[in-house]
Amino acid sequence: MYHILNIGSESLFANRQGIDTTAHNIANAQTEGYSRQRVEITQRKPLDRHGIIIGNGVYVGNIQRSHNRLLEKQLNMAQTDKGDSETRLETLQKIGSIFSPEIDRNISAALQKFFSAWQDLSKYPEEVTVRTQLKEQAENLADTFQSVDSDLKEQRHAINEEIHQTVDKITNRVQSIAHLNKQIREMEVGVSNESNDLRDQRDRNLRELSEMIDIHYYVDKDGMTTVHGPGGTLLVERGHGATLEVTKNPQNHGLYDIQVLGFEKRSMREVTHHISGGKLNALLRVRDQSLAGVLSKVNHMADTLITQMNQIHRQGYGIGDYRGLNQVDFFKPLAPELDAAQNIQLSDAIVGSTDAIAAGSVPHSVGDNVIANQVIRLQEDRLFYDGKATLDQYYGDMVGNLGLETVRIGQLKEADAIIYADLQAKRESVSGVSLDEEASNLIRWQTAFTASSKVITTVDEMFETVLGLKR
Amino acid sequence: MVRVSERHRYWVANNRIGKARRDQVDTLNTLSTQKRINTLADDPIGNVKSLQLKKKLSHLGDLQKNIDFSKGFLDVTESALNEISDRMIRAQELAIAMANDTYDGKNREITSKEVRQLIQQVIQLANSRYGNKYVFSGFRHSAPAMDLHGNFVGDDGEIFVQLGHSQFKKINIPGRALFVANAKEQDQGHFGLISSLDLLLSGMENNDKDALYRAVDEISHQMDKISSFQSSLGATWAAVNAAQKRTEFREVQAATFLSKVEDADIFQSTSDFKRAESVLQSTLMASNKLLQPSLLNFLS
Repeated sequence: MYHILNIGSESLFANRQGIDTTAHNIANAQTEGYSRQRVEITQRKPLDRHGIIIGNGVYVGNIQRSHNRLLEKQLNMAQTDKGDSETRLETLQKIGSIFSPEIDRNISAALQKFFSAWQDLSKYPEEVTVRTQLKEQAENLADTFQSVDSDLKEQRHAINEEIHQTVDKITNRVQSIAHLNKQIREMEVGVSNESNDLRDQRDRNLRELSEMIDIHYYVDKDGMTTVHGPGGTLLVERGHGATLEVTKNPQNHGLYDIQVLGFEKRSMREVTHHISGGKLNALLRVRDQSLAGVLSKVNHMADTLITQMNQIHRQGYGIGDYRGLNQVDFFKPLAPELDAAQNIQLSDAIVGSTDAIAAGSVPHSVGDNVIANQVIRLQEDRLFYDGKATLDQYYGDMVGNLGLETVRIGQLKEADAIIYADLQAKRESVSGVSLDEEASNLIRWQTAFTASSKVITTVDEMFETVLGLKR
Repeated sequence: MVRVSERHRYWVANNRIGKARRDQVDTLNTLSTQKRINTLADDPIGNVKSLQLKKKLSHLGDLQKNIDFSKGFLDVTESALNEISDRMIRAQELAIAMANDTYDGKNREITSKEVRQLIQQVIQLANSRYGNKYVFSGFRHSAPAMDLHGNFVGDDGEIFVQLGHSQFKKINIPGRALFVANAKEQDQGHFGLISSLDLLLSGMENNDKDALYRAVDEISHQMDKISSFQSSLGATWAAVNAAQKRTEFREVQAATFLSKVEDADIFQSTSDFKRAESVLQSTLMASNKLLQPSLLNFLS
């Protein structure tokens, strides 16, 4: 009879554990990265009593999480791609907004107004108002170049800061994983089952890390995760985590490079060019390729304009005090190391007097418009790509390419999002908590629990019956 | 069997609603701006096209202004030339008439007054202005082309104006070519336009018949010269008119094309908006039903 009592109480315990785990599942139904847990109850080894083998009740064999390691890995890879394309689209859209078709004050429009003012000068080279108008349009053009340049550099700065933050976040996650490695090891020593909740947390950290940077990882025989980062650097090994830091690169406008500091900060390795995935890759590529490309094109445009304008303008003669003077620059000539778009401005002579604007080809010739007509022709000259593109075509090409890149990355992002959603759905179907299922489990365990307690009361009644025999 | 987890249900609902909302905002944008292209990525090729078309339209506007300017300039030049031609015809008539023996010194002296006036009129016509530009002065067009004595004081500047892509047209007649004899003419014994009238004048005043005969020849040479300039002016007129037609045509063409590239199809976008709206509504309704109950709601 004690045997029955024992079976009853063990069954009570096992079914209580069932409700316990169900409660845990319900509690974590909305927890990010949580894998639902299952109680595995097992029959005890049977007893041989007087030649008859009888059942020996139940015990809690294991509490396991529903988890598919392969799926998890695929999901992390998809997360890396998604983090990359999502961030790239976001930053490209920000750059694109600088050249938005809704902004009327763009380089193309300013150039057109500038040349339009030269058309007027060609008709009325002697008129002061026409000259003043031209000077204003030239200033507007210079301002437009400057503001586009500064907008682009502001974006570059913002991206650079985001790189810094992302690198800090990566270090944070790497350290967390190392720390969890230690905790899991400590917890799992000497027990048969895995520490489900800590492992869930570590998986979640790995996922977040995957979103930011490309990693490879595996779980070693002690249940600790080893993580390799870009260029084969070791990020996590057992309880040790590497640190990622940024350093300013003077060769790249003082923008950040990324260094991996080994454990205990003994070694240091530059990994900027080895990073090939995740948000960090997106930021670096937009900063060093897309944005840098646009910036250099804008500057090349400004530089070409300054050089060509001055070359023509220096041949000509102005009016008034400048009627006998040539070799006057239109834009201030710039030292080659300076960014042309940032520093473009009118020469001191023209700032000082609109008389310095040279429309004529011979001295003392007020109505001469030969130089003005040459400037007008500049608009049609194919100055770029080895004589293949005019100023306007060059600008159009730059803006068009930026737009096309945004479209391409947008499509990539859509594809990555669909793949990710698909895997996420698969993962949820394995590991996610369903309240309907938990509710039915609750009924299941409760019924068994009630039945088990009935067994115990029955045994109690049996004892009473037996004890009553003596009376 | 695919299990549907709690988080997944919310996630799907969120995603669908988000997508429906984004579509609605996009169509709303199109509808409110009436433009098909609102960001760089909406249609990169179209965007570049629209940039180029806008530039083209503005450039065509400039050309139109150039053409108007040219027409005004040519108008003044042409009528001045015609009037000078009329004066020369009159001078020719007088010269031929007065060379006749039926007239004596007295008659010639009286007629010389008319010739003197003709000379003044021609000088005035040579100083014709378009706005404040003396059309025969070359580049020195802020000053008269001739002084009071009929000496040419302009320069040889040729004023070119852009009429089309890479097409620059000379629109002025430099006065020196018209009023002053060039080296070749001088070799042939010709002289300037005013000088030919001066010859006539002195012939009248001095009662010199020989001078009058020479004046007849000289004036007819000058008239040939004028009519050759008139015909070259006609050619310039033709070019300007052709340029105007071309520019107007290209303006209409570019504007039509720009509207095609840039403007939203209002009917299309209105119906797109309606569709996006109803998609959003039904998604919200379905999500409400999807998210609400679980088995727990029915346990007592």
